[in-house]
Amino acid sequence: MHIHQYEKLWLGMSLLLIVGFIATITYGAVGVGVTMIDDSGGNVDPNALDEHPEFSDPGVEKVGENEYEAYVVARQFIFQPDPIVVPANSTVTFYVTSADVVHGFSVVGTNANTMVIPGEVAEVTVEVGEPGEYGIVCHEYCGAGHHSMEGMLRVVPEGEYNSSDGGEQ
Amino acid sequence: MSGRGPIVKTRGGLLVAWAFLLVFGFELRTALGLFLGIDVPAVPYLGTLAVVLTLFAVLADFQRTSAQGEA
Amino acid sequence: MSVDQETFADRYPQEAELVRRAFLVAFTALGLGALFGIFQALHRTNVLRIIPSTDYYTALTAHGVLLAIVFTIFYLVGLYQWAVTRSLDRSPTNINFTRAWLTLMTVGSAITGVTILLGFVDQIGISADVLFTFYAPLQAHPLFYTGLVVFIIGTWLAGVDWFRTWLHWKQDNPDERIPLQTFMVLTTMIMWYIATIGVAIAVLFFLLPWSLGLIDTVNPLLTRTLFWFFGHPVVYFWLLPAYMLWYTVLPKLAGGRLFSDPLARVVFVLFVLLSTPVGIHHQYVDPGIAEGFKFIAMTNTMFLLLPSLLTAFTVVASMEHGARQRGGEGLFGWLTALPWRDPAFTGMALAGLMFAAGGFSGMINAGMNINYLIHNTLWVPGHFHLTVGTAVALTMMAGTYWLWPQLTNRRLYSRPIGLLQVVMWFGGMALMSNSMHVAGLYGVPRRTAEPQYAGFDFNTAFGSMAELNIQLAVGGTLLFVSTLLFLGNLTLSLGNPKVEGLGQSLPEPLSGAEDSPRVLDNMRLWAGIALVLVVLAYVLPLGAIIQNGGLFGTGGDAYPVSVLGTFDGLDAVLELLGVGR
Repeated sequence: MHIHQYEKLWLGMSLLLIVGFIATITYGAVGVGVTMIDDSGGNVDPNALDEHPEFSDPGVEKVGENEYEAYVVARQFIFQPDPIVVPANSTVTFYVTSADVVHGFSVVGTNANTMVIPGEVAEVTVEVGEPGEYGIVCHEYCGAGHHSMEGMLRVVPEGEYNSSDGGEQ
Repeated sequence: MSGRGPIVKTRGGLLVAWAFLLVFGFELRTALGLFLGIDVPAVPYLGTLAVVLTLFAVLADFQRTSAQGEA
Repeated sequence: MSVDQETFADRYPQEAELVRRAFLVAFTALGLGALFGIFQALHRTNVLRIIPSTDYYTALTAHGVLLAIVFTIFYLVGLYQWAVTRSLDRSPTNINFTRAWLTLMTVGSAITGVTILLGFVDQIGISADVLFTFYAPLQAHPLFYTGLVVFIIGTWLAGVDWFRTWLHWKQDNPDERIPLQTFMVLTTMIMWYIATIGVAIAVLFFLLPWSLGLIDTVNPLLTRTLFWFFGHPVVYFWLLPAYMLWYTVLPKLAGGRLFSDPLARVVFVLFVLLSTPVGIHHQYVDPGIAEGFKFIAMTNTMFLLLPSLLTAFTVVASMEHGARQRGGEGLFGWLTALPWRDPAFTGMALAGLMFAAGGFSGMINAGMNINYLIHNTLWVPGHFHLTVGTAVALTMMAGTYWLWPQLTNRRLYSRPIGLLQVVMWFGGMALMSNSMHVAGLYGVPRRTAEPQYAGFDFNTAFGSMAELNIQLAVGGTLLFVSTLLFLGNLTLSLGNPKVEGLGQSLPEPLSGAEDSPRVLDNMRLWAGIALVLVVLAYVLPLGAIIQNGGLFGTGGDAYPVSVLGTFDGLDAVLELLGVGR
């Protein structure tokens, strides 16, 4: 098969580009430590969330030195709790599930972003920085009121964070 | 459209070049804004761009038709 | 140009009629889809809100299904029927069979289309506001899924028809290579058969019985994964007809010949192999799928860049060759020698240019970790309006300008209007898609009627949200006007008198089929390897999903969309017209 010399060159550069992309992504995963949302969150029955030890009372709890877990339920057309309150400069692991249909959970302006699928629990760990307020949007169509589905992530100074009502409703 | 022939610079070519350069200039503004944080104001910039490009197109068309007239 | 040849319509009048019929359905869907498109562009940006936001999703479903399924695929079957008949120089084995599958596809589309549109009228209680992706547990009326099944069976039979024509041709021409266009048709259909396994299982075994009440629950992650098993290769089902036009028609329009037949074959074979085992890259941020499976999908996706990069080379090289044949000179001077006055050429060239931009934003989407930033934001529709919305749709429209006279024996009503139309599409899409990409980076979500929230505002890096909204609205309006110009131009062409000699031939490639290894024509081999790759990419993740969540899920109710609608589109229209009830 005859291939033009320029085309061989182009082919070579294309393969280099592809391998380069894969290498940077691998570096992002292994070197920088950007982990993907995976199957570690486990499964739940979306109709039995009120019997679930954590999702029955969604909210934030302290699990270690500067480490917090936030249990969030998405349902047509709200997030629970709202707002989610976490302390600044901490590590927060979100566990998000749905009580009804497929939703999205995206902290606007950040890369905290996951699908919320009934039956599955999405686990996302994020580093929380300075105090501030971040909008949360549902980014997957979930029904006629989808456009009104929003929440709030409130990052408060460490001193002002009250663990007893940390993000409870 | 025939197989072989002289270079014909057409009005179609001018239209495409005009649209292409307009889009290019527009995307340049986006690139400046997103990558370098330079906020080029949209209205005067794009307006000027459109006027300048249109002037060029008219001039080029004039030149093209007069060159064809001589030939 | 020699315009003394017989046209496709002269030589194959019955087939030409069927191609025209397929195009008629495609363009009807294009017109309707564009109408819903302009509604959305103006509604989202709060420029003009005619329908209530709850009905936005009916419009969005209709826009997606009519354009991404009906328009593209009907155009595909029309073009492919033309290509098979033309390149084999042979009628279908039984033209009634051809009529039957086209009818089946039309009936299926009509059922699904009407079911979606009934969502505007709440009194009837039938609705399918489930969007193009119909993720369970949102549930459409059973007719929605039924129409889809009928439509897909129609496309399967179309493939059977083309394979049968080819096999008969092969009996008469045992030693000949498969003509390039037929090769492209057959490889596309192999890919399509493999791809539709996913959606067929999802609909036939889960969603349809579930919507009929035969089963109580489904596993939303499973049906979603099966959808994306189909949902990524379907984009190549849109793209490959455009590639066929770029490879076989564009070089002729440019005044030259295709650079290389063998590499065109290699590209199509690569699409057969790699199109399907990548669907999980739409699910990078899905819970319930292990990271390793996502990584495999990512690697395959990146290699899928290869055939498109090769295409970029061949298309540009063929254009340059054509330009030099026409007397073009210089490093870039040859560009001025191209036939920019011809809407068919210019449309395809601009579509190719935008595809390059769409390819770049696609590389971002494919980047597993950077995808976090833009997943389900407006960036994503920004991306696919460059690919399917321009590379495919604009190429199809441009191809129509070339093909339509040969199918009808009537000249095009106006080539200048055609040129204006394709340039307007280019400009409109540049505006709209740019604003979508940028807004996506700021976190503005896709698929929502009102991306204006009560509790917070989006932060812009430069400019303002208002400016992006204006851009999107203006771009969308230009696209809508462009569609009207296209449809109007074609309609007015029907009023032109019939003339003779509009036929056009396609030149042989510079490097012909004889240069390519025979193994490329071995359809069984490529289908076999493709299936093995699909098994490797999908058996484990699907197994894990079923093992963890169960074949029918962990429970949970169905959410029929018809019950959710609280507002009524009909009322809104009547109110608008002042006919309050």
